[in-house]
Amino acid sequence: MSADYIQPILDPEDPEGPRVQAVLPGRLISYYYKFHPVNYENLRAAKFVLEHPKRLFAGIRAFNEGGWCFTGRPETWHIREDVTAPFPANLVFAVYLNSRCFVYEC
Amino acid sequence: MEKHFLSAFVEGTERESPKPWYNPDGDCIVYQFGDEAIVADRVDEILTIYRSVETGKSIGYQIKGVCALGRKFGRDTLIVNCRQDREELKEISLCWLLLAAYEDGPKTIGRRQAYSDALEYCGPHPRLTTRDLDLVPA
Repeated sequence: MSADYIQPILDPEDPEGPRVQAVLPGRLISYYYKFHPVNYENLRAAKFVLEHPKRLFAGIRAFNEGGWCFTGRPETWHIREDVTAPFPANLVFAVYLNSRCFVYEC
Repeated sequence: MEKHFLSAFVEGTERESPKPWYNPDGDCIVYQFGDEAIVADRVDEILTIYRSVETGKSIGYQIKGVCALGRKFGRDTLIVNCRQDREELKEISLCWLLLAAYEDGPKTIGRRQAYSDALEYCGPHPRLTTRDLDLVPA
């Protein structure tokens, strides 16, 4: 399994304060790379959104305490493994983090 | 194309065919059989359908709050099969999980269609071993 990747992000509980660390878990990196190359490529877009979020949301799950959703709009994304396209104007790219700031979906 | 910032993290990793996966960080089961960009279509607090951004067709699903579902319906009742294959292997039926989740919410046409889609995709991979779920935090 891959190692975890650490990404500094705005503290969702204190966006004006110092940055905190989000974790891109190695198991998610491996899973995307092994089974979903497009999602693996779009981890670039996820990194961009974590670095340049437009909106942060809380209370995203009915059955799990805490957690965050960072949304933003990358300029481009992958629609196939080797095909990039402008990110659609009517969508936002969402990155979901649990209460420990571990990314679990994007 | 610019080198991927995670390329060193996946060196030596082999590509495989998609199969359902329990993600302990999200307490969710995900399965996506098409490798293309997706839009997540939230059906309810348990089910999200993945749709192709190009065609709008459903190409996978996410079952959220698996741990909570196990508590609610009884984890033991989810285990539908045991077999001896060198070691005891217990499995959880994804169809059972989806049906229980469907019955627990409003019976709308939209939900029925979405759960029907998800059930169809369970066909090739109807079960997860409980070993996969042992990572669920207490």
